[in-house]
Amino acid sequence: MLFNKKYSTRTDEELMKLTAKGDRNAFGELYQRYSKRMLNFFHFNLKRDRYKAEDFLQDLFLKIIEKSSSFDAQKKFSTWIYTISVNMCKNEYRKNSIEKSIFSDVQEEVMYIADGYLDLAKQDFIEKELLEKSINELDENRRQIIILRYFEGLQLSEIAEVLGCPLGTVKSSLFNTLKLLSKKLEFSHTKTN
Amino acid sequence: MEEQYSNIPTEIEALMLQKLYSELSDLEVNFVSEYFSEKEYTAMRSSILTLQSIKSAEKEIEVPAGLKSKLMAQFDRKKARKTPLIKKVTGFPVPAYGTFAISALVALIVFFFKPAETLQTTKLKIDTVYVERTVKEIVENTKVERISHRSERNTLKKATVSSDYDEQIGSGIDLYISTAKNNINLVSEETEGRSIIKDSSLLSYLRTSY
Repeated sequence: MLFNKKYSTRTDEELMKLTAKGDRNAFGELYQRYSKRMLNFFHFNLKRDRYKAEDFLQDLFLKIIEKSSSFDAQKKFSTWIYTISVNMCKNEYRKNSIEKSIFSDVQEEVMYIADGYLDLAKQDFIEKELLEKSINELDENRRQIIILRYFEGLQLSEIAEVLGCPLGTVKSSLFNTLKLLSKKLEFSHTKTN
Repeated sequence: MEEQYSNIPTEIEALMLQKLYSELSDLEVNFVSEYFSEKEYTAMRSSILTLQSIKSAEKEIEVPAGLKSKLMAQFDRKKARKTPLIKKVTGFPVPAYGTFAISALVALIVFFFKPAETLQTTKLKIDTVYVERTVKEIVENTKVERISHRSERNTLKKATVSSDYDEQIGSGIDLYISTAKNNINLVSEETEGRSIIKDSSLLSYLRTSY
């Protein structure tokens, strides 16, 4: 019990340093802290494909094992793990770019739904559906900014580090994307009212 | 063309998360209006809140039970690949200089054991081995021991050296009187070199004696 406490009180960065030295308990503690969070990150990013998300989670921790010595202890572990995860997702998007191009147009789909029946409860559901599909249609960086900010709760400076771009770019990209998404929502309101 | 935002303070996002446009103070309205109209503010706020509601409505999935043990096994395999032999043996991490020190120690041990072996395996031929030292009145007593060596002509007698000369010759060295090739010499089997006898009076003494 005391032994476990020793690891649970350590910072992520300390645990990562120990992991790099071959400390399996430190690795176990990191897994405890991040596995669920990263699984759900992958789950949302991969359009709720649970099996793929599990595979990605396994790959992520294998990468951590293999690359543990390359971790820079001066940086935040959470930023590092998100950087790896985002890159994995980006690779997946690139692989599936053909699949993405055959998705039905979001706006057309909303119009189709609106042509049917609508009440207030459905309105909320449609908004969420629309927004989620709109997120999936964003370019990779914008999509990650939205997910990291509003789903993972990262600070803008952390997002800049994860994506490897300046803070100013992240800020402007965030507001431009919010504007784009709000236009889509507005469009759905117009159609449904 | 779509308007591009830049250099927007992040405080505006915080305001969007907290307040409706109608709830903003005059100061806040002035601040926000530098960047967005009321309509834009409201629309963006709505997007952010919808995004947050998606997140909160999201049913979290659980990590598969067997995954951790699978990864721990992988971690152990990687660790085993990386562990140096010395650590596997001792159970402690030994840095590179430690490995070097141990290697040096082993080399030293080998070095100290090697001369004995060498002497044993390359035992010098007695009648051709000499000690380079000048010895005076060295032989007080000769004893007696006949050692046959190679040929009948190489007859040796063991010489006992007076303790006064131990320091000069080296204690513990067995000396022999060699009569090989009709010469008489005081020799040592242990040391390679020339005759120890340079003193003509000693030589004549030896010749007289033996």
